[in-house]
Amino acid sequence: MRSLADSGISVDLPPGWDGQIRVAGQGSATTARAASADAEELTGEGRVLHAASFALPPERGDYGSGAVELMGGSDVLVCLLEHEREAASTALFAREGIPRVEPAMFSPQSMQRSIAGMAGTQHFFQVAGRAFCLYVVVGSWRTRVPLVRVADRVAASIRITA
Amino acid sequence: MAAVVVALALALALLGVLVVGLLRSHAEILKALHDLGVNLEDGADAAPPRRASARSRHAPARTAPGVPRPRSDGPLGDATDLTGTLPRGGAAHVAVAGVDHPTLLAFLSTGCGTCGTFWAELAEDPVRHLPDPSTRVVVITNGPDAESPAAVADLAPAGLVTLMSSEAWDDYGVPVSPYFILVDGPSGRVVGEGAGTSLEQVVDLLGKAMADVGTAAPATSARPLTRMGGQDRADRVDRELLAAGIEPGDPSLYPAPHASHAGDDRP
Repeated sequence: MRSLADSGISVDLPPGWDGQIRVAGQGSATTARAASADAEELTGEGRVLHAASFALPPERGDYGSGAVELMGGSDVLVCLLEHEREAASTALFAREGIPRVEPAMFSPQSMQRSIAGMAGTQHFFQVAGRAFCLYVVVGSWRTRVPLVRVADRVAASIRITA
Repeated sequence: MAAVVVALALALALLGVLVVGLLRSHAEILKALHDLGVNLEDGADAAPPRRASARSRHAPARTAPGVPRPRSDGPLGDATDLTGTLPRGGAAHVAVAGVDHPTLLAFLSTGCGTCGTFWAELAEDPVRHLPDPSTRVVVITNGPDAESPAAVADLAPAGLVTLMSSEAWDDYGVPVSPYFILVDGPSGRVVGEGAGTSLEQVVDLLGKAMADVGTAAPATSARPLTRMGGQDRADRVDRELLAAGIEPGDPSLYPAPHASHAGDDRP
């Protein structure tokens, strides 16, 4: 495991995994293509964490557009997206603590943009007054059980401080 | 009369010196060409180029101005993953060992003249130069303690990951910039390294290095880094499953019963 940390967010990456923590909305700053493909490109000073079992392309949106298209059937993408702090007081982000993911949560319809064979899930929550969305994509809905197990281990290793 | 004889003798001597100089220059050119594997004799087959190791035993390597000399103490060894900061802010970890594709590490700086060529070339689809289209190119500068993030951000090629990491320079023992290291992903080994005046020259050098160690890239990658359509993706998933021995109906394809359904006796 290799630890990656920045801006009060850290994650342990399994061997062979890529990871990045960057300012939200940089997809639009560096690439119009990735940003336009993202349903909701974040703005503000929030951070975005991407952890992937494959090579993360530099051109990608906050929700992983530009990256999910590269995923193979055995790949996993974990996205942690920080929203404005004010959002933490809303009902959508009322849940406290980083959620765990399990196979039953995944659905092809939960993708930001449906891609045949793939499945995703997303959950909103808050930690230390910071509002987040955890968005996880697995490369194959049919073999999601072992893939979700890996994704859950990565999600469980995420640490957030104020 | 004597003056004419002396003048002719001097002219003859001067011509002799010129001829000797030309012959020597010609011999040096032929020798250099021979070292590169070129034989100009009629009917002669191309001579095999001398291995760098053999050449280094006989004469010191020479490089173009601005190009660093190869390391003499650089045995190819294990690669290490890269961790550093991003020029526009944030942190990144790039896996190069234990992955299914080769990675070309381009160690550049913002201040060196020779690097300017590479910054420009890397911005224009550098993968087209590479023998294996699945090769991932990662640009690495020194960390923010030695480089300006803003300057690196201005030069960073849009299509490549650019990482600022002095740690990576130390890990790979990079002598100076520009410097390139090719890592074989599956084995996690460094298979070639060196420098040049252009990306094409560097790629040619690294391609020969890969051939020398028997890790020449396949013509097609098992996992091309290109975007796939829905049917292509479904077909690839099916192929990967079959290759893993998982056929339609395999129990591993279906999730275990959810905890809330523990008493459910449905199949």
